[in-house]
Amino acid sequence: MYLYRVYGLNISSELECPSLLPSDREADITIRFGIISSQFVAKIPHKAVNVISKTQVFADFKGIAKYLISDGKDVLVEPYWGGEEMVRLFLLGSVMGIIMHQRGLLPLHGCGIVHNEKAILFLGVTGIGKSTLAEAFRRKGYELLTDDVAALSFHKGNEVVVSPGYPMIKLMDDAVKYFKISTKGLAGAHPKKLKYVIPAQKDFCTSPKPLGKIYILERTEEKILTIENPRKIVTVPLLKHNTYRKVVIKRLGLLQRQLEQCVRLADNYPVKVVYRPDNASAIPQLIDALEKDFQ
Amino acid sequence: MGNILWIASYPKSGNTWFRMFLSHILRDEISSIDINQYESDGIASARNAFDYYSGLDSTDLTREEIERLRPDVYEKMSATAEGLLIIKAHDAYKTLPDGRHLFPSPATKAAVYLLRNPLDVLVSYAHHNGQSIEKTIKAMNNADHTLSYKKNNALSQLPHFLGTWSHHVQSWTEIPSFTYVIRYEDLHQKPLDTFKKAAEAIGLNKSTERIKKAIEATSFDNLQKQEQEKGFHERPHSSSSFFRSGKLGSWRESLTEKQAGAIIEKHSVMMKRYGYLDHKDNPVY
Repeated sequence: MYLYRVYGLNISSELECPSLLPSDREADITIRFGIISSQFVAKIPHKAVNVISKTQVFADFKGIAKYLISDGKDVLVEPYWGGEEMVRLFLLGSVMGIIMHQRGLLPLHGCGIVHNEKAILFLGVTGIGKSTLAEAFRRKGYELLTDDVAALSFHKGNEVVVSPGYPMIKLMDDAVKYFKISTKGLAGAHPKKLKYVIPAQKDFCTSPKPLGKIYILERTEEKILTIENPRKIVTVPLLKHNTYRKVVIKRLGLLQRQLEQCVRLADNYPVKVVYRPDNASAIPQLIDALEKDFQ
Repeated sequence: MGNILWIASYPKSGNTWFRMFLSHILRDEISSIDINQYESDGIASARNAFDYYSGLDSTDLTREEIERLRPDVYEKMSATAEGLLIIKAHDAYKTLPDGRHLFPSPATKAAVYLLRNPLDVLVSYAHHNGQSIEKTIKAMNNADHTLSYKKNNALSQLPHFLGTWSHHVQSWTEIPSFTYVIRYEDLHQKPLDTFKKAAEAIGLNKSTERIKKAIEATSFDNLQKQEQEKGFHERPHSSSSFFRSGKLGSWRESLTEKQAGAIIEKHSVMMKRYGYLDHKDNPVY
């Protein structure tokens, strides 16, 4: 078994995941290969992600793998065919997101960097430029805390902590070109290299950080970038909307908890909305504006 | 049977108009319709809906992988819907390599396929995309024509395959058994009869009075007037207006003989089948 630590959780896995940091602690989560009974699968009403009970989710990603995720601690993986890469990609992405929901964490769809020992998060829909932004900050000397998913844990006294993800950033082709990164020898996040994996071990923050600020990225047709500080009535729905793998929340009976967590964030932390023009030349402008706002 | 009513068409063939009509007849109160607030459950190729229902990141997947998962997404959408979903589709109908259909029967309540004279589509489509007539002819005659396909880039929609105009028409009218076909021209020339029969075909039996009100509220002039007054959120950046002309045969004012010929030559079989060419191969509209 391989032992890893990610999102503040220790994992014992039969599947090797070289991108994860090693761990020597007792496992919180066990990942095993096995056969998921066909009688069980036959009873599942529909495809993709199915909430079986308050503690069990079955995800059937056609052509990749079936995953049975129980109690936020046991994952049974049955690959369809083909390479391990895709099986790992969805294990570390969607399956981990579901585990976080089962364990009471709030996974937000976004990247995190560290500023003054606090976590700064950038949330937003797919393709809005979260990872590009994280990479731009990393190049300016900021430590990377997480790419794509931010795992938030809620503690007493309204303290919220963000745990480190994986020491890498996944960038699409246009972003790789923007940073003038040579793709020679760069690993693909997918066998067909739809995205590239930029290693970030040396600029990676390995310890959890208290939450500092949250920025939600939105596109604008305007040419000017603006950072707004809207009221809770705007930010709470946006936080709910930017929750990772929210498809399982309702059926797991977690809607109320998600709402309470989002309200706690909006009540106790700055949650700002960044309206960004939709072009690459706006990136330096975006970095400048955000750095000013960090202060 | 599923909960999804597909409103399928090649672009610029009356899809939005028809969905606004449906939105009107589905409402309890009879009122005018706000073009920016009509009931619609989005487009089949929406990336965020795919990511939400599949539980995956579409940017992690190839075009083929996304396509293979799309029937599951629609079955899930349908199974978890609280009622009827009205979803627009510009994809051609397709059988996938594993034998399943892109728009699977278990997710489907019915499908309406709207088609329009391809000569008028050409003019409207060129205007919509802010592109030349020549480039648009190439697109309509291109067997690989695919929208929202930019390699290694995440657009707000998933890549969706259309093929040639003829292929598109053929795919929706010949493969699935659940398609109800409507011609754009009939919606213009025989609105009451065409809209009423369409509504009945998809299980929405409404009184003639109710249908008349909906036709009036969603008349082209009304929609165009609203767009001029307050804009329309579905208008592409490349175009100055969404509801532009809506006239039948307007191609005669803007296409050269050669341009019209390029469409007629390529699509004469389907054009004849749907009454756009007469027996002497002359355009009807």
